[in-house]
Amino acid sequence: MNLDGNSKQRQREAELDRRAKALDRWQESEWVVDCLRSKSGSPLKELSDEQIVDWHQKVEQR
Amino acid sequence: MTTTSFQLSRGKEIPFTFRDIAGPQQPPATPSEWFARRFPAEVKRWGCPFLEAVVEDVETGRKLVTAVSMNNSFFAAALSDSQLNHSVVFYEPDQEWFFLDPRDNFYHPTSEAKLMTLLSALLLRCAEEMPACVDRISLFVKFREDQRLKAVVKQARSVLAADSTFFSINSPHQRIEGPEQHGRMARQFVGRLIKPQAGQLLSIGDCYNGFEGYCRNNGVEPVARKAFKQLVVEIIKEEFEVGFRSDLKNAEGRYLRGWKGLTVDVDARN
Repeated sequence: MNLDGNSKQRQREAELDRRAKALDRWQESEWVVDCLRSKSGSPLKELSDEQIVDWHQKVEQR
Repeated sequence: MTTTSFQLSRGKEIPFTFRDIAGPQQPPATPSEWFARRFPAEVKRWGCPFLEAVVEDVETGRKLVTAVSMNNSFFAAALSDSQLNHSVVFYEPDQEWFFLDPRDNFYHPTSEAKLMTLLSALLLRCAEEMPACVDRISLFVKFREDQRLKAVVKQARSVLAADSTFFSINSPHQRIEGPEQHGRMARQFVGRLIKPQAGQLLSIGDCYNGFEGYCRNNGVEPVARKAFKQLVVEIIKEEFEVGFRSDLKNAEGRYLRGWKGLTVDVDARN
């Protein structure tokens, strides 16, 4: 693999790692919030992976 | 033969943000350490989670750590998990609990029973993750008794107290439903749809009709006309420095109550 290929591979791994951490943290957040939520007749708004990664970035920036 | 000592441990301070880059860590060895890792900001502010007794067998050197007493202020603060950007508040004007739901960024009502459930679940998770040298019975049974959980939640009423400004119409915090929602809608309506226009008269009736349409377009039930007037008079005064008058006369010579020099931009509504 050339230098450019290595760099892209590293970027991809970093992105996957970031995504995995964000999803882990989101699950933890959901566990807490689920203890506090009341059941509702309307379905919960689902967040996309991108929204979860954005949420995680905001949490980390605090 | 055994010796007993007591400790007030805050654990090692590693902020949650740096948890992943601080290198591999040993799993927490005591209940205080477990909570301190999860809630470093709360430990810093409110002190160690537990008073712990350490009983050591002098011959074998084996230790047994037992949580003896809990720091209610710490646990009260931990109900609002700052590491996860969560927020739980006791809104004093309504004597009601709210939590921020990260799915919609609105505060939703919750109850003391649910806060007790959260605390109980955290203690259970801590007990499950403790090594054999920790007394897990006290964590599982003693500290999860209703009266102890209630005491923490009662303390949380002051630790997590929020005053009337917390949900005020100018505050960045919004709850899913509350009387201030009408104030926010009225402010939005005035900001977006009311425009200055020389020579125009805006009656309270036309203003309310515009507001009603604006609310319906946004899926919100409008407040009653009388309450609307109380809200909007102040907002218009602030925004345009124009006072509400009862002596205006329209082109047909009819008296009307409203504002001079303002109009509703109906086109902007849609």
